[in-house]
Formats: sequence, C-alpha cells, structure tokens
Amino acid sequence: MKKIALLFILTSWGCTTDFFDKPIEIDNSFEDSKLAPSAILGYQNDFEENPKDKIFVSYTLNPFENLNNQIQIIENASVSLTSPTQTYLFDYDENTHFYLNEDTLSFEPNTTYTLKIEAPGYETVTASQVFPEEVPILNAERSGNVFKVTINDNPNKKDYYLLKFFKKNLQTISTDQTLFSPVYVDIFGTIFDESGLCYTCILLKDTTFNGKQNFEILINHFEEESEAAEYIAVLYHTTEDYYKYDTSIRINEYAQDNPFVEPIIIHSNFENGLGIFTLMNKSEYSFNYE
Amino acid sequence: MNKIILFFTLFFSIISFAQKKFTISGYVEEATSSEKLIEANIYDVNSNQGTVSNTYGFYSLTLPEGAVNLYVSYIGYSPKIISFSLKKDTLINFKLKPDNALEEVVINTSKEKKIQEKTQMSAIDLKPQEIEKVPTLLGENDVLKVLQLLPGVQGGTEGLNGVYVRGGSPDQNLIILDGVPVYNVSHLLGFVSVFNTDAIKTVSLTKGGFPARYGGRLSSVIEINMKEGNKQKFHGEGSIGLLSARLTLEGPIVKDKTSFMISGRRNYIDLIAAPLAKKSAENNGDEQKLKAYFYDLNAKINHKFNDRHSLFLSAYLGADVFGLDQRQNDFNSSDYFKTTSSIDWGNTITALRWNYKINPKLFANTTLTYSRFKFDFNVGDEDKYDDVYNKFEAKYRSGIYDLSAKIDFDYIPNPNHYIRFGVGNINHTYNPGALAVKGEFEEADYSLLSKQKKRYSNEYFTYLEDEITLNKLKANIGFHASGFSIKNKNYFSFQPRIGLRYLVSNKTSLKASYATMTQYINLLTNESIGLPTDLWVPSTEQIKPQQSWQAAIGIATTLKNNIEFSIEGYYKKMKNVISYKEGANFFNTEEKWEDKITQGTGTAYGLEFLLQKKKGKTTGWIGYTLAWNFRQFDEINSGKEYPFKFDRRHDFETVVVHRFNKKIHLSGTWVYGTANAISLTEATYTSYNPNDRLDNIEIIGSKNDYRMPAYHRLDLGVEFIKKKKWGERAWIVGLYNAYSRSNPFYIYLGYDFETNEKQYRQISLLPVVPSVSYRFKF
Repeated sequence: MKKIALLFILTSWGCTTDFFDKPIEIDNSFEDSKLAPSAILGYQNDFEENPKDKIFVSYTLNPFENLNNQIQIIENASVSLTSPTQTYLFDYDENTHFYLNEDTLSFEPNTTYTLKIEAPGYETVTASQVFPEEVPILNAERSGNVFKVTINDNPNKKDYYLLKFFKKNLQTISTDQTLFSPVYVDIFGTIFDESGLCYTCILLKDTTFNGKQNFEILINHFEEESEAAEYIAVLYHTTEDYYKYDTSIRINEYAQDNPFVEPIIIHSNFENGLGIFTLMNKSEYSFNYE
Repeated sequence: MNKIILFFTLFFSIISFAQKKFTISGYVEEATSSEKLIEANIYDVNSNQGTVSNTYGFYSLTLPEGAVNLYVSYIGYSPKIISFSLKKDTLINFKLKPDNALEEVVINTSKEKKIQEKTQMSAIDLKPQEIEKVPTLLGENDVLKVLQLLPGVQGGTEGLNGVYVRGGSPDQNLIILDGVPVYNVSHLLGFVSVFNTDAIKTVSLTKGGFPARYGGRLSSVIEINMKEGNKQKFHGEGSIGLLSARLTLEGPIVKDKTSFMISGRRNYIDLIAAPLAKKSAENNGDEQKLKAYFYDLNAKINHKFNDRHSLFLSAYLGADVFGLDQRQNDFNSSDYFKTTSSIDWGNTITALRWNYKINPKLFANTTLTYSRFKFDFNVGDEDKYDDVYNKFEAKYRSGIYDLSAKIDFDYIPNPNHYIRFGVGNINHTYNPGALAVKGEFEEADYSLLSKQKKRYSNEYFTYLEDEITLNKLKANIGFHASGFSIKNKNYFSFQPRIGLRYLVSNKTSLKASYATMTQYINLLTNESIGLPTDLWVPSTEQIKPQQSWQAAIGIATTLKNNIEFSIEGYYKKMKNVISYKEGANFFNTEEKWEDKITQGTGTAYGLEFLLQKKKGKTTGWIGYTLAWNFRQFDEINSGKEYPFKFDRRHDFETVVVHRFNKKIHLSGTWVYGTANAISLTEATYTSYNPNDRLDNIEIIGSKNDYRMPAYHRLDLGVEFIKKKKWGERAWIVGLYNAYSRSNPFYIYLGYDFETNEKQYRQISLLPVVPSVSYRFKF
C-alpha cells in the first residue's frame, strides 16, 4: 500500500498543469526595428473604388510589444521611385494611411525602377524591379462554372502571373463611374501545381505551360449559374519576387502555431529592410455572360 | 649460376613452406543453446595469428603445419583453449559456456579482441542482456532507446525512438532485422520500437567507416539479429509490464539439428479501456467498440543439415491497430447513427537464409527476403432517419514492399586476408497513397478513387572488401557499387571504402576511415513524431539519390580494469538530402509528394568520446558528443545555411548498471543535451496584400535561429531477482524522468490572459513516470 501511495505521489508531483504548458524565458535577440514597406505598383484598376497606386510603410516590432495587434505605420517617411528618366515622389495620406503619388504613374516595360524609403530612426531601404512586358489576354469567357482565359506565354523565360476577375456591380452608387467587384475563384484541375490562391485571385508561375501559345487557363468560380453579368478579366504580369512574397505570406497565414508545418521565411527584396516592392503590367479583357 | 640455384632453392622452399599450411574451420556456439556466437575471437598463441567468427558463427584460420594452441573467447563466456598438432584441414566446432561469475572481474582475458585491435571504427555492439538492464519509459525495453544513449546518436523528440546518427535523418539509417530492411520501426507513434528484445540475439550500430558490404543509406547501419532457437533444451521467458506482455519460447525440434524460436508481444491498452468505453456508451443506450493495441510476432526455425549446410527461416509480423466504432440509437424508433474509424499499420518481414560452407576457406550465405509496410486508414458513417438511409466511407492505403535476393561470400585465404564479396538485388514497390471514397445517399450514390501512381524500382549492388593485416597495420579496403532504375531513369554509384588501424602499442591504436554512400529511397516524415503516414518514396527523374562522404579519425585504447576508451572525430558531407519545403503540411495528401519536397546539402562534424566498462560488478558507459550539424536548401531559409533541428552542440550520457549481488541490480541513466534548434516568431510588421487588406504578420528571421532550453533526464531502475525451482523471476521497478524535468517538446508564442502579455510557452510531454514489471525465465 505504501508503495502504491509513493508511486501516486511521484506521478502527481510531475503532473501539475504547469508541467505540460508553461511560460519560458528565451533570449529573443530582436534586432533594431527595420522598415517593412509593401509597394505593389501597377496593381490598381480604373474600375475599382481606389484606383491609385499606393505604398504602405510599416516597421518591424518585437512581438512582445505589439499587444493589441495594432497596425504598425510609419507616417513620416520620404518615399521616392526612380527610373532612368524620372523620379516620382509619394506623400503620406492620413485618411488611407498609404503613401500616394499625385500623378498617374506610367511604367516602361523592361525598365528598372528603384524604390527608396527613408525615415528618421531607421536605416534607408531600397529595392529595384524591372517592369514586365504586357501579356495580352487573347480571349476570356465564362462557360458554366468555369472562366477560360487564353494567353500566349513567353517562351524561354520564367513568367509569373496574377489573375483576377471582376464583375460589374448591380447596385448603382452615386457616382458616374461604373464599379466592378472582385469575383471569388478557385483553382481548376491540377495543371497549376505551384499556384497560390487568395480567394479573389490566382497566382501562377508558368512551370507547366512555359512558352505555350493560345494556352487556356481554366478557373473555377462561385458565381450563380443563372445570373447574367458583365465581367473583366485582368492578367497581371508580375515578378519572381512578388511570387515568392505572396506565396510565403499566404502559407504563413495558415501555418501559424501549427507544429506540423515547416516554418516559413517571408520573402523580402528590400536591402536593409523587410517587405516587398513589385511592379505589375496588367492586361484586361471584358466579356459578358448571358 | 650458384646465385640462380640458390634463388630457386629458396623460392621452392617458400612454395613448399606455403604448401604446408592447413585450415582450421568450424563454428563457435554457445554450449547451452548452440546459438552461434558472432565475432568470437579465435587466436593461435603459438603463431600470434587469429580470426573472428562471422555473423553466422563461422570461422576459418589457416596456419602452418605443426603445433597449434588455440584460444577461443567471447565476452561473457569462459574461454576455451585447445592444443593439437595441425597436419591437415581440420573441422572444430567450439562450444563456449556462459561465464556465470559476472560479479567477478574476469581474469585471463588478454587474448580477447579489444577495441584497439578492431579495424572497424565508429561501431558499437550491444547484447540483449545489456539492453534489458537500461531503465526505460514504462519499463518497456527498447533497442532504439538504448542506441540513443550512445555518443553520435541523438534521440530527437522526447520519449520517441527517433535515431539521428552523426547529423543524419531517420531515413538515413539502414535498420535490418535478420538481413531484411525494416521500414517502420515504431509502435504507438514512436514511443515503442518494433523490436522485441526477448527475440534478439545481437545488435550492432555502425556510424561511419562503413565496410563495403553495407550500402543503401547515408548515416548508419543498425543490424539486429534474432535468436536462432535453443538446439539443446526447451526454454522460455517472458514479462508483464504496464504497457505490454511478452512471451518467448524456444527449443529443439530435433536435438542439435533443428530448433525454433517464437516470441510474441502485445500491449493491452484496449483490454482496460475498451470495456470502460463500452460500459459508458451502454449507459446512454449507445454502443461503442474500441480497438487500441499493438502486437509483434517474431519466429524463426533453423535446420542444420550437416557441418556444411544450414537453413534458416525467420519472420516478423507486427502491427498497430487503433479503431473506434460508435452507434447511437434512437429509443423511439429504429433510427440510428453509426460511425467507424480505424488506423492500422505494420510490417511483415520474412527471410530465408542458406549457409553453405563451400570449403574450409570459403563460406556463402544466400538470402531471399520479403519486407512489407502498409498503412490503412478507414473512416465512415451510416445513418437511418425516417427510413432514409445514408452511408459514407473513405479508405486510404499507402505502403512499400520489397523482394530481394543476395549472396554474400566470406573467403579467408590466410590470417592476413579476410575477403568478403557479394551481389544482390532489391525490387521495391511503392504505393504513395490511394484514396477511395464511396457514398450512398438518398439523392444519389457516388464514388471516387484518387490515387498516386504505384512506382516500381530495382536496386542492385555488388561489393568487394578485404581486411588485410600488415603487422601493426590493418586495413579494410573495398568498394560498394550500386545501381537504381526507375521507369526510364537509371542511376549508378561507385563507392570506395577504406578503414585503417595502426597498433601504436598493445593497448592503443590509431584508426581512420573514409566512406562514400548513396541512398536511393527517402522517407517523407515530419522529423518529430513517428507517424504511420510517413511515406517511403524512391529517387525519381525529379528527385536525385542522396549521397554522402564521411571521413573519421580516432584513438582507441584499453585502460585498467578492461575499461575501453575511444575518441573519434568525423566530418560528413551530404548531397541531395531531402526536406519538406517551407510551409509544406505533412497532412496534406492532395499535393503530389515530389512537389512538397526540395533537395539540398548537409554538413555534420564533431567529436565523440566513449568510456565503456563491459565487465565486473559495475558496468556501463559514459559518452560525450560535441557536434555541429547544418543544412542548406535553395528553397528554404532564403537559400542560407541553417542549423538542423537536432543540431545539439553538447550531448552527454551516462549508463550505469551495478550488481550488488545475484539478487539485486540497480541501473541508472542520466542524459544531458544542449538545446535543439527551433524557429520562433521574432518580429511583426503590417503588410498590404492584393486582397486590399492590411494584415499584421508574425515573422521568423532565420530558420532554427533559436535554441530550446537544455534537455536532461534521470531514469532509474531496480531489479529484484529470485531463483525459483522452475527458473528465475524478477520484479523490475523503474522511474522515468525521476526528477520530473519538464523538457521541451516544442515552443510557441502564446498569450497570458492574466497579465495581458505575449510570452514564449513550452509544451512538455513526459513527467516522472513510474513503472513496474515482472519478468520470468525457465
């Protein structure tokens, strides 16, 4: 009996709740805070509510400091985009919290653009990207639950695309402009092994269809079967950096706190900082479904 | 002219002298059971020439005609001395008796083969008697858990039987049971290994300096041989513990000719839990059937036709079975809702071996093997409401099976050469996963079959090695050549091997080795828990074979009281090692497996110290490893090199068994390891994404950039032994993690709701776990 009691005591000693899940001290060697901008240019569309290209400038914070998960914004940065012939300046907009440029940006294909961001107390960050060529949509249509988009993929070159579909809003709003809203889509088939999904867009790389002409991309959607609508398909020709950034962000989203998922390093292309600078060259194609 | 005559006279004298050599050959066996003794030492005191018995107990020693004074020894057995005049080829089978005076330090062991005399470095042999004494979790003796206590071997996650050898991954270990590769070595998700120690005769671990006969994996060879069965008398042993019960029976079918060994083990969680679950369900008017157990069955039969021919047939069958069937009944009608789920996995292994002594110098072993691992997962439900019937079931299958044939030769022309050569072929069939779904619903029936294609591959090899003795220098030189064909892709590999030993003095030697290895099959695993969903997959057109080279140098010496001490330094470079890509989810079966993984390089280097005492009242060892272990993949960690998860800088282990007397044995192990590497959230920032959203994201700076707290644990065991009329019984009381150290399983960024603070939190698995078991032998 004594032995059983002893075993019970020993087991109880080790089985306190604190044993299995407890706080611990780990030397978090958080480096100095860095700038972490998100600059996805060439992405905004004229038929959307906020058509201007915009840049968001954030900064890194020790995770212990951001208790309420508040947005981390740098409001006093100077942001400039330089091409061989021109420099664009971006100013902070208090309403949207983005840095905006007064003019309409115009990018030249195969030209390198450099984004430079300076802010007091932070190291200056820079990143460069080449503006991709336009890849026109040859045809786009809706066939039942599927959107079909036909393109000519560039041969001998790795290409990265973001594909979105917009539908004309049925409810009118009090402006002269006709607005379109993004359509929820899904990957169709298995051809896009390395594709990514953001609910309203498909991220593709041309590994499985490199150089194919009149290539038909099939995308599932969740539109009502009987509903007639006007659509615009938008194909953004983008960069490898963006592809890596976007996929790493999305995977990181569902991998949080899952010990069975390999940890993810969020891709960044800024020197001295984190975040992404990318350029997108878009082509549009309007079509109706009746 | 005179010189020419003198030359020819001398030449023919040498020839005639050479012709007057004869070969002594035979087997070394244990006297009481006729079990063959592996690596027994046979030494002629007169000529200072010797040899060792091979895996099948066979030895061959060619000596000059004349007086011979043979000394035959094996650790734990009384040595045997025989003197005679050698005039012809002679057959002698030695039978050694176990040395029962274990309490005494054995005297007169000077001719036993010591660590410094062996050419093979980076290798350790263990006997079941040693394994049995080491205290373990829930008193369940486990070969792999004991191997984790050796320098150069890390155990991975606490409580589990992962084996990480010199910076390698678990799939880089060739684990062979009676010559057959075992693909899944885990029961209970890795808490128990599939090897039942009662059925085991010997265990050897080779970490480097691989002789040419081994191939197919990069990091280690763990060779486990099952008992052959007592040829002299019927014998049995067994145990009953908290987790499982075991029973082994062995004995002669025809004395000295044919014997058998059969050993079974079953755990009985279900025998306790199932009636409780059933009773609980019945109280609510429902039905419940629980299945939760694992079992092993080892069996072997061998027949000795004569001194030249023997045949062995061995088999292993083991599985884990988990399942739950539930049925909820409506009291007022015949309506019901029924669910079924089950997960079964296990190995089936058979080997047929034929030993043929072709002549006193040439021995052949032919082996035919079959090895299969399969994993089945079934889930379903069925319901009936208001005469509407619905049914759904899904089945998932995966696995691998091998058919192989090989022939190995041992040729011992003289004491200065021990030549081994052989050829073999393994045919692999891989089933990377098939899912069948079937539904019967009121609206419509449907079925779906989604499966990844079965793959077939052929692996073939040949090898040649010679252990050459040149006075104080001994060398094992050879090559292993292998090929692999899958579909239209062929891979070939030539792997040179060399091991050197130089005897500095009678007690000390210097050793060095170099080995290249190639591995054609890979395990997709999560590096922590030994899940049955782990998948063996081949090298393909897309996935190249893993390759490595390893160089090692060391010193081996025997100190006072037969204490062996060795220091080894190693450097290993690995190419085409595999890893899941960043973000890959082990449970995602929709994605093609080849797209979930990436290949890169690995670098491991370190120093290992081992101080071992094998005899006397107190036995055991102290091991220490100083190691570095890195990986580099283009698609992981932005292409930068990072520490491997089990990059542990310092690893210290001590194992002590003390026999107070014949009745009480005390054992203890203490392990200390500096922290494993881990990736932790180290910063947050806000990102803008194409969904027009601002999200705060938590980021890790670099993979495995942080360290978990250090790991340490003390296990204790006491054995109370009593002789009985019918044999012997023992009560074994154990404590796992005696001071209840909360060792880290994993760490996450959590939140304390009381203080409103974010904090790192540690999950631990195993506190102090007492155990008691009862063992008997007759």
